[in-house]
Amino acid sequence: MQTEIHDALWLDHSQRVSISDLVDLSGLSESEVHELIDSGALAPVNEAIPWSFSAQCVVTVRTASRLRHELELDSHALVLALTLLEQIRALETELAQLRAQMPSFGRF
Amino acid sequence: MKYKDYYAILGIERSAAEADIKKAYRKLARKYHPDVSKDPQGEEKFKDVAEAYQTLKDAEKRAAYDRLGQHQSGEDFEPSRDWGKEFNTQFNDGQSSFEGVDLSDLFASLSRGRGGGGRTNANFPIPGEDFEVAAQINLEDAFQGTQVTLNLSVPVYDEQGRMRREARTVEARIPKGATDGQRLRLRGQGGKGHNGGRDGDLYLNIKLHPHPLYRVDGFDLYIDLPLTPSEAALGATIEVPTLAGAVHLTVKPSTNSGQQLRLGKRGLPKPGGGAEAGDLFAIVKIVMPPTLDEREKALYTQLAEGSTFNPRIHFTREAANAN
Repeated sequence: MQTEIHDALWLDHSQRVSISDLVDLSGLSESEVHELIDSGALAPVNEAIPWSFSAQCVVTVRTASRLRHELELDSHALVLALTLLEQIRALETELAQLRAQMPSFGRF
Repeated sequence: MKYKDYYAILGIERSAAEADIKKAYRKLARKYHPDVSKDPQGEEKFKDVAEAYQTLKDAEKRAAYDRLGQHQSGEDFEPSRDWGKEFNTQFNDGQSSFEGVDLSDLFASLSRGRGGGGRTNANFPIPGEDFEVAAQINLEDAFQGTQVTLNLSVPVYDEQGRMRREARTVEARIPKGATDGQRLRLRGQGGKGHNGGRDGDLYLNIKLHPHPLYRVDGFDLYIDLPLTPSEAALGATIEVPTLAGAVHLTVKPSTNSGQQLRLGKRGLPKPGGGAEAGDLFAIVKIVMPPTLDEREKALYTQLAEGSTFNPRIHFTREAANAN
């Protein structure tokens, strides 16, 4: 058994990744990543080429890759699923926010 | 090696047609896929379903699986040497044992053994497996930064390209800036690549344990601030616990229940190692003593008789407007 200590890198807005990073880390082809950009499921942070993306997009492309290959979705279904998952995530965040702000009556 | 009944996992007959296998897989994948399922066991169930489908959808692999014979689920068994030779697995030299190999690895080795476009196993680059792991940490650890121990079962390859699973412990340092749902990547810390394939990565999904005092919203924290009626009426200086130690908070006179008092930058630190942090909000909760003693009763009576305050004045105003 081998033990190693490693630093973890944030996958959030503070880090940037390139389109080839998204391809390498997801297993999607470059044209599949372009389809996600064209559909609006992925948005670069700059308009000029070469594009750069928030590292959070790594999570999106990896989800896209799993959905595409494991649920055998075509590109339209994939974009729809990603959009709905993002809506669920936003609603869950809002719900968690409201719960956090709600005083816990009956307990003190 | 433990036997898994792939047909039972997919809920189909052993004689099922290819179309039925696909149909059963799609139905179960929609139900258990970890990206869409809320079932806490979904991920485990999906892994089994996907493993069963990977083998049964491929006619050659299905035939090889069927030739293993029928065993009880979970029963220990070992394929015969003849089986290894017949299906040209990496275990076909008559010498190798199947120790440390699980059923899914065995069938994965079948497709690699077949190769593609004339490529042989010896030069076929195999990327290392990526791992996604939930890292459960508490709020204090997120505040200070922490280290988590992850136990993985990673595939390793010997010189002949045979794959086996090996236990590996990875210590991952989680810097300050973690909150619920944050993702981290540990580059190259998944399975090792083989024949020039890249090493896999380890992805952490941060989950915060619920805290008895604080509720979390991103990097902001919320705490209930119970006040006595007199503290709320007259104002007070209250000691409030924060993750960096207690601070004194001034509550103004005539403070109401539900009011939020902000303690700037007393929440969770944001990623990047800078001074940026969320806020801590103290939510006022006016609390009555469960019972009043005689003296308190007398004082409240005196207050009630001397006060003209009516918190329901809008009832009368709204009623008048409605008429």
